[in-house]
Amino acid sequence: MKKQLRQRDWQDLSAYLDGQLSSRERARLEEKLRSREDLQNALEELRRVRIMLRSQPRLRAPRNFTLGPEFASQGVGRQPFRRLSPALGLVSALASVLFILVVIGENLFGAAQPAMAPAPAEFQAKSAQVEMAASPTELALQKAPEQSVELEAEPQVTDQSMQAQEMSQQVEGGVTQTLDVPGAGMLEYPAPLARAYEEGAYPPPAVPSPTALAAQETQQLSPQPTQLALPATEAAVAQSAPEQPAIAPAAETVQSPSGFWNPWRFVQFGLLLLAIISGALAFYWRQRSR
Amino acid sequence: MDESGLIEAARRGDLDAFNRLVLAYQDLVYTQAYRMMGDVEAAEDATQEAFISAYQHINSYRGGSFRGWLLRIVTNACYDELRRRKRRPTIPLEPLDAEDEEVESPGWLADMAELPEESAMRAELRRAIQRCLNELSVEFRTMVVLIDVQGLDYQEAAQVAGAPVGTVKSRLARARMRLRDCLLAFWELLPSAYRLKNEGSE
Repeated sequence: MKKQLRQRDWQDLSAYLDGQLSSRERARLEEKLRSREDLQNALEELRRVRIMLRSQPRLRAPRNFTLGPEFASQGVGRQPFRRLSPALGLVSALASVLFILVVIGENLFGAAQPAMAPAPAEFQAKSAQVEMAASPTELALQKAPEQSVELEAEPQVTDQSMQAQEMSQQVEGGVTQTLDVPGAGMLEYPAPLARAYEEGAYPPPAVPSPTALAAQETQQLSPQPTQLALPATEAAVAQSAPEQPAIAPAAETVQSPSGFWNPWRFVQFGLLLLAIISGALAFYWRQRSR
Repeated sequence: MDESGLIEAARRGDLDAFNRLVLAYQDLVYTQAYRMMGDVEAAEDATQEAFISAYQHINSYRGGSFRGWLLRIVTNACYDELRRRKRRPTIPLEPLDAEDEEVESPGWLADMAELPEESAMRAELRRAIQRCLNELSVEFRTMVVLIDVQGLDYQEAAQVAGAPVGTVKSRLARARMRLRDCLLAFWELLPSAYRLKNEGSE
């Protein structure tokens, strides 16, 4: 029964014909050849094929293929770009590695940043809120000695209304500042609070309107000058406090639009673009130079 | 001037030096082109294109076998042309005269001193071999032409084909396998000197 030769057998026989087997492989094949007639027949067939092919003489060119004088003026191609091909390939590989490292680094070390990132803003918001809470108090306390002095100087009901007037004057008479608050429009704030907002105590503090503040002052008038200031301040703080929760969401909503396009993203995008472009150029010039 | 001197001169833009290299290698390059393409016109185009490309890219030659470098260029030129055509090259191998009979041109005859019957047998064998080569895929055909027709060794053939030596072995073996059924029918056309030499080597 004629045994079907495997592809590997044909390959070994072909390499054996050309002397391309190692000494061990040759010895193994020769041992098989001694015992298998089908291998011997196959070897003989391959030998005849090789002889027939090698019997063919080299063909003579039907004409001369020399280049004309027009090629002399063209000159020899310098191929500067081909020399760049390996360098571009290296650049592409490096950019790819850096891209992967940056992505990994962002995921490892940047995971804490989302919790931390809002913190500065939160801290700023909170500190602004603390300032908000403090500044009306400070304002009031600052004014309180003056108020107390004034009250003591003129212990009359008219002085208390004068305080309210002063407060409202301070609020209304040029110590205020108009700010464009996102989502709230143009609002008036006392100058110190407005300054705090501009310096980064974002969002702007929630301060009761000057007229409400003045109204609270008049409602809470008492013989003790210090007591006059504090309740109003506390009321102002208490009034501003409920608004604080409304501030935080604003802070968060303002933060979110810039969350994706952080500096790391630009670096990643740049590296990816560099890797793709340099790799494509290297491949193109290498193919052209073949 | 020896070959390396001619190559250096060609790299400096000396067209005459390059043309001397063309004359030395054009039979080799044309044989490769013809065996791969299977017809005269396509082989001439591929050969000319290969030499033009070689001149324009002479500075990319970095030493080693200049023969292998040229063969690589013409092989790639043939690959490109075959891909463009998207078909296998077919006979007739020789140009046809007015009666559509194949014309034997002097360039085809290796030995003008042959006897007529020997010449006819050789021509028939040549045609048979080319017909059988045309039946192979271009990768197998390239490998068997480089090694069995052009006489390259496995390493040089691997450089020309841009493939590892293992691939060379595999493609060559498969090419010879497929050729044996086609070629062995023409074994008797082979000049007796070759047949006797083969039988004597057993």
